[in-house]
Amino acid sequence: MTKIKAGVTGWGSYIPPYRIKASDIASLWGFDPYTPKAIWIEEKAVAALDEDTITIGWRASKYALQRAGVKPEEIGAVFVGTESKPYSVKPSATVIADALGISPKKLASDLEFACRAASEAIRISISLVNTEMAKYTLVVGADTAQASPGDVLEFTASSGGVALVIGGLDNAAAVIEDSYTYVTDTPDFWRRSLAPYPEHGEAFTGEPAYFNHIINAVKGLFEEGGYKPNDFDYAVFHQPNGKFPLQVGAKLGFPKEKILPGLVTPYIGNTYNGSALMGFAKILEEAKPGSRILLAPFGSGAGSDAYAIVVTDHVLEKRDKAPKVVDMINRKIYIDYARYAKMREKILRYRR
Amino acid sequence: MMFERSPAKIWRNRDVLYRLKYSYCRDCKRSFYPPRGRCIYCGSSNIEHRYSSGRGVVKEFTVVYQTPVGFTDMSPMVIGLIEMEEGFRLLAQIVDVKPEEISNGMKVEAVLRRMIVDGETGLIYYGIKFAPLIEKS
Ligand SMILES: [Zn+2]
Repeated sequence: MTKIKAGVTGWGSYIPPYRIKASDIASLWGFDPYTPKAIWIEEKAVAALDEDTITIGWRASKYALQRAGVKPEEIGAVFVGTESKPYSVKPSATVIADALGISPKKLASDLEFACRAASEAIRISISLVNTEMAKYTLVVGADTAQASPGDVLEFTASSGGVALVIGGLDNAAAVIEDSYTYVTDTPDFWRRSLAPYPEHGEAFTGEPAYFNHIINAVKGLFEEGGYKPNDFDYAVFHQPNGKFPLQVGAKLGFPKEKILPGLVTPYIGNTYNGSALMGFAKILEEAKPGSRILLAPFGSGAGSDAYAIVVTDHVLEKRDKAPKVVDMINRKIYIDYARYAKMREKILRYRR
Repeated sequence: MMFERSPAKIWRNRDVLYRLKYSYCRDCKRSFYPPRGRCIYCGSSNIEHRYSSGRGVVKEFTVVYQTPVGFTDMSPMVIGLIEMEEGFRLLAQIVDVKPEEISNGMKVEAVLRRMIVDGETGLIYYGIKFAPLIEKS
C-alpha cells in the first residue's frame, strides 16, 4: 500500500440548468429513436451563452471552498483539467484563482488529457500535499464539451464541472487511501488544434480504450492495495454514457447497486473532466461515514486512474454548506434544438 | 453594469468586477459599491474595503430588448437592482431565470460569467452577474 496522507477537504460541483432531450437530437438528425436508450442517455446539460469552462469551474470551486472551510490564501496550487479551454494560450486557472481571491503565491495551470486531466491533477495534488509544498490545492474538472452536430457524440457531450480541495488528513471529508494509474498511447478520440470538434476512432472507443484502461487501473489498485470488490460500498467510473459504467463494473465484479448512486450521465450527459468526479461528489453527499468508494476516471488517448477513498465523519458537517449534485440535476430549464444551437454557437452568422 | 471595453481598466478593477469588493464606512456604518476612498453618504475617509458574500435579493428589475452592441446575443436581458446582504445595492444582469419567473425579493447569488467577448481573437472579459439561489430539491 502506498503512503498517501491526503484527503478531500472540500468538494463542489456545478451543472447548468439548461437541458436538451436526447430524443430531440435523435429526431432532428434522423437517428433510430431507440439510439438514446441503447446508450442510456435521457437528456444533457447545456451551458448558457455566457458560460464556459472558466465560469463553470469558478462556481464549482466557490462551492468547494465553502465546504472545505479553507481561506483562499491557503490554496497553494490551482489546476484546471479540461479539454475545452476558452483560450488556447492563457491559463483558465489564473482567472479562476484571481476571481476567488487565491494569492499569487501558487502554482496554476491547465492540464489536458481528454476527460482524465483533472484526475492527474488529483495525483499531482497528493504529492504536493504530502511533500508540504502546498497546504491545500484546488483541482477543477470542467468542460463545455464539443460534438459535431449530428455526430453520435452529440447525445452526450455536455457542460458541467466539479472542484475538489485536496489537503492533509485533518478535516478531510474523505481520505485517499491508495491510488494506481494506467496510461498508454491509444488513438480512441482526438481533436487536432484549431479543429472545432473531436473525431473518434470507432474501433478503439470501447474495448481497447475505456474497458482496457479502467480494468487495468482498478486491477492494479486491487493487487497493490490488497482490495477486492467487496471492500467497496460504491464504485464510480468515467461515464461517457449510461451503459459503459455498468458494463465495466460488471466485468470487475461490482453489482449495479454500487454503481447507480454515482451514475449521473443519463440525466446530465457526459461532463468530460467532471464526469466521474460528479458521481463521486454525489456519493459524498449521500454516503455514510466509513464508506469506501472506488473512483476510476478515464481519459481518451488513453489512461485511467483508480482510487480507494474512505468517507470520514467530517463529510456530515460539510454537505449542507453548498448546493448538492442532486439539487442541480433536478433544476431544469428545457430548451429545444434551435436554442441549443444558439447557445453552443452552432449557427453561422455575422457577429455583432 | 459599468463595463467599458478597456483591458487596462478591467484588469485594474478585477477585484471589483470579479469579487464585488465594496467600501464600508466606519463612521456612518454604511456600505457602497463600487468602492471609493470617501464615503458617498457622509464624506468620511474612514473607509475600509471588504468583499461581499455574493448573496442578495432582487429589489427591482426590468427586461431589456434593445440590448447594446456586444450584448445582443443576450437579448432579452434582465437587469436588476440587487440589494446585497452587506447593505449596498448595484445594477447587474440576472441570468438563468425567465423574466416571468422573477419577483422582487427573489434570492440571488453572484456568479462569474462572460461579460463581453472581443471578436474572434480578442480577450474574453469576465464579471459578476446574478443567478437565482440553487434551492434544495
Ligand atoms: Zn459614511
